[in-house]
Amino acid sequence: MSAEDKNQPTAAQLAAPSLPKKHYLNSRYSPGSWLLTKDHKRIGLLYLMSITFFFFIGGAAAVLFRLELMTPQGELQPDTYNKLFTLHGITMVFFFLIPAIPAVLGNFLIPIMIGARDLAFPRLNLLSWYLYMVGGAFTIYVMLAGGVDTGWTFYTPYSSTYSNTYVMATAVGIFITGFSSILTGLNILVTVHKMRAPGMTWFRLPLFVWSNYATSLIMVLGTPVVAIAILLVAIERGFGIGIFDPRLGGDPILFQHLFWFYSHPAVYIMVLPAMGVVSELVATFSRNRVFGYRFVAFASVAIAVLSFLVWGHHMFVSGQSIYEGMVFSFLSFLIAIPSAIKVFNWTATLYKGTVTFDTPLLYAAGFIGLFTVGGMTGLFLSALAVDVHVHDTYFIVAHFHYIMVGGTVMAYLGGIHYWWPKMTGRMYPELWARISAVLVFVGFNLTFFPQFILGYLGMPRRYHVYPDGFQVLNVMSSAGASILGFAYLFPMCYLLWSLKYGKPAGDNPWNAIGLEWQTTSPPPTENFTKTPIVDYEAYAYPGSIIH
Amino acid sequence: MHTPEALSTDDPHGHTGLEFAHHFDDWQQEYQSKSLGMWLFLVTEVMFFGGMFLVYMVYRYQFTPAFDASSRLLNLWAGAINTVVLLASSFTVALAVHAAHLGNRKMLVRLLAATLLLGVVFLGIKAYE
Repeated sequence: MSAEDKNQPTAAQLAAPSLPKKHYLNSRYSPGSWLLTKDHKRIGLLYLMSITFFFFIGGAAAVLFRLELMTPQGELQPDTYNKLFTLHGITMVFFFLIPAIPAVLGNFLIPIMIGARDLAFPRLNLLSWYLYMVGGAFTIYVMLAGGVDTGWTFYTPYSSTYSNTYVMATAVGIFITGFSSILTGLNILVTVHKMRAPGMTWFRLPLFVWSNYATSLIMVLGTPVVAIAILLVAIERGFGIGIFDPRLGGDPILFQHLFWFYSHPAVYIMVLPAMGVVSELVATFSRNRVFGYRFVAFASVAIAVLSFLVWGHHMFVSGQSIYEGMVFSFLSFLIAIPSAIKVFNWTATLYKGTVTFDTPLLYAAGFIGLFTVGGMTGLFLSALAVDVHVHDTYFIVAHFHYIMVGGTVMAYLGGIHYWWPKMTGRMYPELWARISAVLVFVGFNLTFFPQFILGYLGMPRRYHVYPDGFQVLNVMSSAGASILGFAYLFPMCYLLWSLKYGKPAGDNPWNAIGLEWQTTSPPPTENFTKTPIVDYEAYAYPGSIIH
Repeated sequence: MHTPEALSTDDPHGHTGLEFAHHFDDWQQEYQSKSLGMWLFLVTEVMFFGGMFLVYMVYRYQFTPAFDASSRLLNLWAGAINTVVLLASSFTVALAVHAAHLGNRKMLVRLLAATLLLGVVFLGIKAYE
């Protein structure tokens, strides 16, 4: 049986898709069957709920400071403003962006995509959710206790000498959450190595699996380093040992080295899985094999490796030697190559494909455009001379929001829509979803594009007041943020609505190729009634060329 | 790797007579997964302490005389004995793993107890230091 035959809907499916009788959602109902579950699909849903919660906390903080920035003098106290942007940064980076795609979509999909019954270590998987929740509880505590004002980067001496806020509790929370992402990474690596179904060779893996594999490498190699950096800050604060404080013989720049050794690769933890999602969406909705499959697969690994060699570009103006600066600048330019390979290959996949503009593709197309803008402005920043002008301005804020929000959040939402029928068995309302995708795109650009101009004109980041001349652009940005806020709430409403009222989706509503579409929607507890045997390439759509 | 015949069995537990978790195909797959997972865990440990060693190296280079002076405060005997205790405890725990593989329960318990004891001795010497 060829791939095409397997993926043609059967007559029964075409007639009227209905939900399967027994699946992972209705197999058991007790609270214990959720809170102590070892099923990767249920753990994925637990992550989905908790991540959504933190996303809206981080979003609420952003709404408050965008309101404050409507007027040059603002309404908030400077301390409150500092706490708000720190809260926004910490919850969004550590509790939303880093776990979003690997822990929700990766958890749910990777075992199904490779034809396994579960991740290699189901108990560790559950433990990693609990570690995430314990770390999250610390963050909630810090908020209730009065906040923290160091910025998400914890730069010393802000975090060691000058801050009287809850730095220790925040540090402990992030330290614990770090172990949650180490365990997720470790689990995914072992699963991809050891649990693939017969015939599922490395080069038949969907690109989503490849990019999550590369992400997991970074999680396993990088997270321990930021854990130790944060622990050292805690030791300095708690015991007065001079590690980063110059008065005690320490070196504050050393903190930045340790921090960015993880936190620059962390940017790729956020965007690599997003690239994996986009590869899946582009292939399905152009009914075409991803152009240059192997190049895209290896580009993920290349990005993971190079990401560890560019951290110095955060320190161009911190007194780093000019030679170091030149090396880090060159390496930062290099990492644009694998990223560009992906963008060109997605475009080439769409070219001569049979494109349908369903919601997931709208999000994917938004990703490609916004990621390209974010990536290109990254090149400005890795040029030594230009960086001096735009360093620590709104230019950099706009740049990384184009990657993290324009890139990762777009792909995450696209992925949620694409796999929603698989996760829940029901379709979302297509028209509403298309409207929301367009709103996200418009709101996003209106929010962040003016910030490029603001930064170029010299408005520094993290200030609660600004000169009157910057007001027009700031008001534009705040207006965009209000659209964006609405556009994020909207999908949550109609997706919840669809849980009860959505049309049953059937096993393969997109007529897509991939093991996840060969099982029922929602899948049974062990994913497949019989272990699948793979005898075809990834994305083997009729008419596409397989090299 | 895995033969399709081995996978097609409907009763994963009855195939080889050895116990393995339900989501694996056979005990070899489970064993290989667990050892790969353990190696990856060790990699994270290397990175974790690598950061600490880096900080140590930087400051040792910056403040060589101070490090030199403080190294003279070391109690050589306590340090040497503690190193031996630490290595011996690694040895007993490795033997315990071996005993577990052989299914020798009595030996396993004894070796684990010895490891625990050595751990307590290690902490005792550290407290004294």
